[in-house]
Amino acid sequence: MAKKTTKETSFEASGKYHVKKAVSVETTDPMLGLITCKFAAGVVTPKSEQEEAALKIAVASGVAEVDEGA
Amino acid sequence: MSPVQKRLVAIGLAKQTAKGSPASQPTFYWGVTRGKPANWAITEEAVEVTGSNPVFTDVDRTLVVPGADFTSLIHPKAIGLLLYGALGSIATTGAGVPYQHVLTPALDLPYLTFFGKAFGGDYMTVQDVKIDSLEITQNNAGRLFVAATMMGLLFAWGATPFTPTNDESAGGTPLFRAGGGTFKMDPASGTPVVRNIVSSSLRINNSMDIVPQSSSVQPGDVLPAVKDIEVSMTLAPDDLTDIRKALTGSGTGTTISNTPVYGSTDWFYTIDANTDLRLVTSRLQALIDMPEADPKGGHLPVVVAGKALQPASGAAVTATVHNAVASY
Repeated sequence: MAKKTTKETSFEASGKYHVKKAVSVETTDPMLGLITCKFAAGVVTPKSEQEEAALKIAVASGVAEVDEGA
Repeated sequence: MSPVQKRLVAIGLAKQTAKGSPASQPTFYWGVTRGKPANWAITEEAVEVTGSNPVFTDVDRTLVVPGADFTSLIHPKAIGLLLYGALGSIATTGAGVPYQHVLTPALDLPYLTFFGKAFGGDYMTVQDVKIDSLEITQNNAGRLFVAATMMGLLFAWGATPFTPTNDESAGGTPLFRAGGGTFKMDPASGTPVVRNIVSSSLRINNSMDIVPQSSSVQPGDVLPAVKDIEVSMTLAPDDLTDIRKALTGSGTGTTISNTPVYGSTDWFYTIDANTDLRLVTSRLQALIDMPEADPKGGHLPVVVAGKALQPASGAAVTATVHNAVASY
């Protein structure tokens, strides 16, 4: 799980993701609002809660997977 | 002037960047097979007050929920936005046609602007719309239908014609149909196999909650609650294996399973090499009743119905669209 030590000041990614091909992800989260992220193919470490939420959508969509080497 | 004509209706849809920021024109525009160019649900009740008259003296308007309620054929471009609006997440890949859009459930939904051409010269919009329900149905090899209900926040009645980006109301637009598709299901595993599915439906019900406000009779917001995804299909089977699986958990089982039996579906519809639609469920409550006998004879229809449930990984329902739309 992503850890947030203080509100919007610190983000620790839960892991890395292997994005299989360049993808654009859009979703709406009740807490984070509208999220729009683009990722190139390769191993990605999310830099924010928004990016991590988008990468989880990419995983659910079969376009990315959790990087086993992380 | 001649009488108003019922045929002169078209609807449109566009994604908003945010609540309160309506789109000025429809991104997609198409005709309907049933429904209205706009809709509103008015709550207006009689004021119960004593007096010297035998009849109610007044009514009070407390809530008006604008929205939309229609059924249409399934157009290759608009269906992507409809599914995004109903499910809430989209992952788009591809550097050229065909682009791939994978739609999966999310906790919230995007705000849309609905456009309705009303019987000729009137043009209506509802902004800050969210899709309350979306149902895709097929019957035999014919065309697919999509039925949708939407709820929004702000209605406007105008007279200026729309200028849509993608006008799919024009003749000659290709349409999704069941013929040429592939239809798989299994009532007791996550690996669906080809079956003779003669009709089916997938319904996404977002259980939309209306948030009222005091400053206007129109809602302050609309909020999706639990996402209830219902799947139904009718098989024309060669044997009773699927009924047995759904009841016992296996094709050779002899006793009723003490735990639910979970199945899966994979329905694929195609227009051409660059345009298709796939609907997949991976953990399906697949309930099958024993069908009725019929003295008149004929093939045995077997109805499978249940809810698409959240699996341990992946999505309860995954819709994949390939088309010429680069981005929704």
